[in-house]
Amino acid sequence: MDPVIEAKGLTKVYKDFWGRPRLKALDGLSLEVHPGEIFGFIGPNGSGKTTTMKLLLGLLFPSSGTARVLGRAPTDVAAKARIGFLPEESYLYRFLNADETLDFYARLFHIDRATRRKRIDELIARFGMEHARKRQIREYSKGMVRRISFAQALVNDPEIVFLDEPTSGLDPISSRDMKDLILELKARGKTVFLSSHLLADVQAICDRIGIIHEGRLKEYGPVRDILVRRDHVALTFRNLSDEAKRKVLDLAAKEGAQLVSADNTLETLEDVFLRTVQGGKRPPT
Amino acid sequence: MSPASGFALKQSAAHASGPAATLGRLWAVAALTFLEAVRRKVFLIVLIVGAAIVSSAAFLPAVDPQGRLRLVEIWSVRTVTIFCSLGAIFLAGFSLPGDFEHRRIYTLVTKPIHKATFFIGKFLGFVLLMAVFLVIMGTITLAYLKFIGAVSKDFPETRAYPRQAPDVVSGPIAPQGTDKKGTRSDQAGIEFRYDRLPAGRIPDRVPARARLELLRLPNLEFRLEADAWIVAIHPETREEDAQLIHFQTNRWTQAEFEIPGRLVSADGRLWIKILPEDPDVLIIAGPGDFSVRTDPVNFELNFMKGMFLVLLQSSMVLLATLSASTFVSAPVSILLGICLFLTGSAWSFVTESLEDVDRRLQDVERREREGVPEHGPEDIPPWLLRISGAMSRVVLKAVPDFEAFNFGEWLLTDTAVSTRDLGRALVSFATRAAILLLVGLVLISFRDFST
Repeated sequence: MDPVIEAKGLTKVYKDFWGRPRLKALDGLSLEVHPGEIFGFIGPNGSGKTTTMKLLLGLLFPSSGTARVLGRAPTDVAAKARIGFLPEESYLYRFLNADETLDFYARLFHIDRATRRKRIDELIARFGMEHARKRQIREYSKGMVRRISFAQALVNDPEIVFLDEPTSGLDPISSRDMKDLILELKARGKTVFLSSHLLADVQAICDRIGIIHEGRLKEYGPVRDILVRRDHVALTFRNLSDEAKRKVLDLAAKEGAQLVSADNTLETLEDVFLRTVQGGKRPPT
Repeated sequence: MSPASGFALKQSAAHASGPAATLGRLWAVAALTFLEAVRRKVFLIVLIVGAAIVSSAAFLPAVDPQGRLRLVEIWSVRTVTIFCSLGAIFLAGFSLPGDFEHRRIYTLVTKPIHKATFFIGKFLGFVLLMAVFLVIMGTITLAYLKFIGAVSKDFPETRAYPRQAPDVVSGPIAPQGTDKKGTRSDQAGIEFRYDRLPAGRIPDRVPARARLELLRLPNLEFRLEADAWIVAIHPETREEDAQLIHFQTNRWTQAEFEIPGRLVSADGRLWIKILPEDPDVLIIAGPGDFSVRTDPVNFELNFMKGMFLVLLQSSMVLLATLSASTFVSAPVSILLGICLFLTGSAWSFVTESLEDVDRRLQDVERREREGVPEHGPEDIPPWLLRISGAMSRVVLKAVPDFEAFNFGEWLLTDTAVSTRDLGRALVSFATRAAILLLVGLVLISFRDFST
C-alpha cells in the first residue's frame, strides 16, 4: 500500500539574516506513514519533531530532501484539502466564537453553506460545546479552546490528521476523551500523525512510532517491535503455586502446570525513549 | 459524522480548486479581516472624526462667510484623510506580524489556501474597511454641510467646477527632464491647446488660472514676480483677447482671470498663448500649470469621487505597509508606511527642491567654465548636491505624488474631480499597487514560518 506520508532525506538548516547556517534542525530524516495507521512521533524538546511536522505541513521549505503528503508536495492546495492539523498551542482568532471559527475554516475548504452548517453542528456536539458556541474564544477555558482547535482540524473530515500534543493542557477526563477520539478516527480509516510527550498514551494507541533525537530518526517501526526485549522471556502459567514458582521450568511439567505462553517481555516506551535519547541513563529527578 | 455529511465534504474537497474556490477563500479572509477590525472597535474612530467635524462649528463665527465652507470642507477631508491613512498603516502593520507571532498562520496556511491568496484577502479586507469608513464619513460631512447651510444664511453654496487641463502644450524652449515648456518675450509664446472642452458647459466668462515659473535672464536666477500676456484665441475665427496678468513665481494666487466664453469653438477647441512682458524674463510652465473651469457639476457626487481618491491613496499606503510587514516587524513596517505617507504628501516640495538643486549645479558648472571661484563660503558643496539630487530622484521614482489624490486641496478652489483626474489617479495607483502587491506576494510566498 502506498504511504500517505513520505519523507526522504529530509534536512532543514535554519539560517540567520545573512544566510549563514545557524542550526541543523533535521538531518536526512526518512519515514513513511501508511493509510489508516496511528503513527507516533516522539522526541525530546529541540529534537526536530516540530520542524518535521512543519515540513510535512508545508510551513517550512526543506534545505534538502523531499516530503510528500497524499502523493503531493505539502504546499499543494489539493493535498491540504485532505488533511487536518491540530497545533500544539491553539492558534485561533480570539474575537470569533466557536461557530464563526469553524465556519471560517470550513469556508477555506470551499464547503457549501448547507454542508458547512451540518458539519459545524456535528463537531460542536461531538466536542460538547453547544453551551458555548456563541461565546467568543477569548472567554473560553484552555480545555474549551483545545476542543475547538481539535474541531477545526476535523472540519473537512480529513484523511490525515496531524496532531501536535493533542492532550496538552487537558484535564484527565478531557485527555481520555481525546484518546478515544483518536482511536475513533483510526476506526473510521483515518491516518493519524501524532506527536506527543505522553509516552504512555503513544504506547497505548499508536501502531508504529518514530523516535527522533538531534535531528535524526533513532528508532522507527511497529510499537511492539521497538518495545520487545529480545534477551528476556516471560512464561505465563495458570494454577502455579508459590512454591513452584522457584522451580519454574524444571518443575512445570512435574507439577502439572499448563504453559500458556512463553514470550519476550516488553519494556515500557518510557524506558526505550530514555535509553535512546540518553544512552540508557535516567535523568536526575 | 454522518455519512451524508462526509460525502458532501468529499464532493466539496473535489472542487476545492479553481477560480470560484479561490474567490471564496479571498472573501473568507477579507470578511474575517473586516470583522476583526469591527470587533476591535475600529469604527470608534468614526465618532472621533464626526466630533472633529462638528467641532468646526465653534470656529465658524471667527471666519468670514466665504471662508466657512472652506473651513468645514478642509477640516473634514483632512481629518478623514489622516485618520484613514494612519488607520490603514496601523491596522496593516499589526495584522500579518500578529498572525505570525501568535502563530495563527500555522492553522491558516495548513488549510487549502495559498499564502498569496491569504495576503490578497487581507488587503481586500482592509480596503473594504476603509471604503465603509469613507462612505460613513463622507455622508456625515455632506449631511453636516447641508445642515450648516440650512441654519446659517451666510454660509456659501457648495460648488464643484470641473477644471480642464490643456490637451497639448508647446513652446520654443523645452527644459530637460520635464514635460514643461519655456519662452522669452522675443519668441513665440507657450501655447496651451484645448481640443475637447465640453462646449455645452462653457460660461460667458470662463474662469482660468495659471502658475508660472519665472526666471531672470541671462543667468536663470529666480525671479519672484513678473507680468505676462495671456492671449486667448478662437481656433477658427482667430479672434483674440489679450490681458496682462501679474504673476508670482510658482503660485496660483493672484493669477486667476477670465477668458471670454465666445472664444471657445463650437467643437470645444481653444488656444491660449502666454508671453512674458519684460525682455529679461523667461517663463516656464507645463500641462498642469494652466486650467480653465466650466459650469459646476453635482457637488455630492463630486465629493464622493474625492473620497474615492482618498481611498486610493490610503490603499497604496496600506499595501506598502502590508508588504513590508511580510518580512519586517510591526513597528518597522508602520514606520515605513508613515514615511511613504509623509514623502508622498511632500512630493511636490521635493520636486521643486530638486529643480532648485539642478539649477544650483548648473550655476556651479557655469562658474567653472567661466573660471569664477567654484563656490562661495555660504554655498553647499557640489558633490553633496549631486548625491542629494540622486537620492531624491530615486525617492521620487519610488514614491507616488499624493497631490493627484489630494482632494482637500481641490476643495479649496471649488475644483471638481474630472474623469481624467480619476483616470490619472487610478493609473498612478494601479502601477504602484501592482509593484507593491508583487513584492508582498513574492515575500510571503517564499517565507518560512520557523517560529
